[in-house]
Amino acid sequence: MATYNYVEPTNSNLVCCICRAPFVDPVTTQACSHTFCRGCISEALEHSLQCPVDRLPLTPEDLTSAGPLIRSLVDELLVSCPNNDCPHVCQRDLLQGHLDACEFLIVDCPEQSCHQMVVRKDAVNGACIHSAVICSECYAEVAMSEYEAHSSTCPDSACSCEHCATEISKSTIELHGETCERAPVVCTHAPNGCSWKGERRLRDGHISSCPYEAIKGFFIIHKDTTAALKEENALLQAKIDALQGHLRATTRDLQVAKAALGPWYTNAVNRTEAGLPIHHPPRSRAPTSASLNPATSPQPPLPGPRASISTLGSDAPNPAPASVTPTHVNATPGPSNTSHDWRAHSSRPSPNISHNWDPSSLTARSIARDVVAPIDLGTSLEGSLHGLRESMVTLSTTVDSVGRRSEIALTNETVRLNEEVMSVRAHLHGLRMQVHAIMMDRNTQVTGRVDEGGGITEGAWIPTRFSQVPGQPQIPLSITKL
Amino acid sequence: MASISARRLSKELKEIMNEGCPVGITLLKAEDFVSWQFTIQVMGESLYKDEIFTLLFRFDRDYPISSPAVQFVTVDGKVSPVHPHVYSNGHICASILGSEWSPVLSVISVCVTLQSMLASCKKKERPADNDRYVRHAPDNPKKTQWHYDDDTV
Ligand SMILES: [Zn+2]
Ligand SMILES: [Zn+2]
Ligand SMILES: [Zn+2]
Ligand SMILES: [Zn+2]
Ligand SMILES: [Zn+2]
Ligand SMILES: [Zn+2]
Ligand SMILES: [Zn+2]
Repeated sequence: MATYNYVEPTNSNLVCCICRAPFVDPVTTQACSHTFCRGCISEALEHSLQCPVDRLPLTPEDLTSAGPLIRSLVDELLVSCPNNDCPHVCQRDLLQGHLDACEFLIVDCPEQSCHQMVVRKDAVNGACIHSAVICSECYAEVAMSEYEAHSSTCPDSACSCEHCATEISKSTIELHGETCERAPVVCTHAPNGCSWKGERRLRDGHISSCPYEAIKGFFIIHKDTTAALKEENALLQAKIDALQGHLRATTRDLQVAKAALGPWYTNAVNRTEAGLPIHHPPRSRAPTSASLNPATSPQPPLPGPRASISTLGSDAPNPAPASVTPTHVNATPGPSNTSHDWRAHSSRPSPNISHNWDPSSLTARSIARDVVAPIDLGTSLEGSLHGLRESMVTLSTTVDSVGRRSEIALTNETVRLNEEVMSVRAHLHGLRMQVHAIMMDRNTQVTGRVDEGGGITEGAWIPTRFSQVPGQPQIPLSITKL
Repeated sequence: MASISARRLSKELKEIMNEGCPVGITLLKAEDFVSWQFTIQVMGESLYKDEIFTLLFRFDRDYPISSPAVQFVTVDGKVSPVHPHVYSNGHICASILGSEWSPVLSVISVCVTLQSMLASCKKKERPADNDRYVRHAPDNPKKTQWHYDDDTV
């Protein structure tokens, strides 16, 4: 036996390294104690006279049978019977005994003239299973081995009708069932509600007295009508489905539009309810300014924010040039409200220019908030947008003119400041001269070495210098005591 | 009745399927017990970094008693590694494939040996007699009478 089907994985110590299978008739080398199958190592030695594992010289004479322990270990390995379909599992050394009796062993057919093979268990009765037999019912040729299976399904095997007990063949029983006089049937009007049940032969008798038979014509008309209605219903159902889908899409769009429109959506709805069309562009402007009016109530003459802004814009250029007048350029800074006249409503006179710039601009901003009315949600979106745009246009022109005016004001201020700086410089020069004179004076007093002539010259000079400074009060003499 | 080589190779194939190949070696083709193909790649730093070669094993009925015929594939755009023991036609001059063959060796152990042969290479060059050998080489490298001049292989 050259090959075994081991049912369990084998301990690697029992595996021959040449054939990689558990040892068969194991032999061991004397010199290096390596174990192989006898067949494997004999073949290897024919090829090369050395041990395959360590390449030491080896001849067939150096091999001895492996010890009884190894032999019994490999002999006890479980193997399965190699014959197809045989489930037998046994120890390896017992397999040969099983094979001698295995029912699944392939043997020659017992019939001498037949040259086919059969498994042993089919050969025991001595008959050739390959020979065909004729079915006694259907006269078909059936192999001996398949005869049992055939007889249970043979279409011509006899059986009897369960209703009329007629003997018929299996293949025709279904056909008979449809005509059997004693088979139970229902009335032909059962779909319409007749509950009659009985043998087929009695049905004709029932039909002549069946109440449904009398109104047969009505049923036909009714059936047609119902069918037409069903068809129409299906059509309508499809239409409704389509419309529902359409409605869903529209609702979704509407919600998106609603979200985008915000508060104007409700206004539009209100106006529509009031009977006014939503699209009415010419109307939109008048209500805008009119509705803005109440918000700007503190300024009765102004018709609206647009008007008030434009009024500011047009008034502004006039006072601005006035601020350039040279009268303002002097040492004592007076109220310079002229340069801020254009801020029509701030109007609180500021005592100081430098003080005027920042806080008053804040005031102006808060006033602007009062002047420009809040967005009117009462009109249509289009009207509001139009009003907003108007405001934007006026605002931009106002900003423009404000820019121009502040530029002029800045230039004026710069000129004035320049002059002021110059006058301060002159004052400073005078002061320096005075200090110088005083210092000279003190030097004279402290040292007392100054001659009369020189002192007079100095004294005469100093007042002259003092008198040259315009608008400068005479320095009191007490200043020398500083 | 299956031949010895078929039984032994089916065992080796089962082992490869169950346990996989060592790193850098993959089974490419093993449709019968006549010839198998493996790809072989040297892992880590070496002269053959990122190069992948294909090994062809051819078995006769006496395997594993007789050695398999092993060579690198040099067709279909595949090349043999440039190595002092590998000829440009894919033949390998390695003693374990000839006189040093032992039935205890296996396909995978041959792959691993060749992998380490490539990994230990110091200089990429062909054998000195490459051109002369390739001109007259037999189809099967086992028919060549190899002269192993290097003990390390
Ligand atoms: Zn063996
Ligand atoms: Zn040994
Ligand atoms: Zn059996
Ligand atoms: Zn027969
Ligand atoms: Zn039959
Ligand atoms: Zn019947
Ligand atoms: Zn009826």
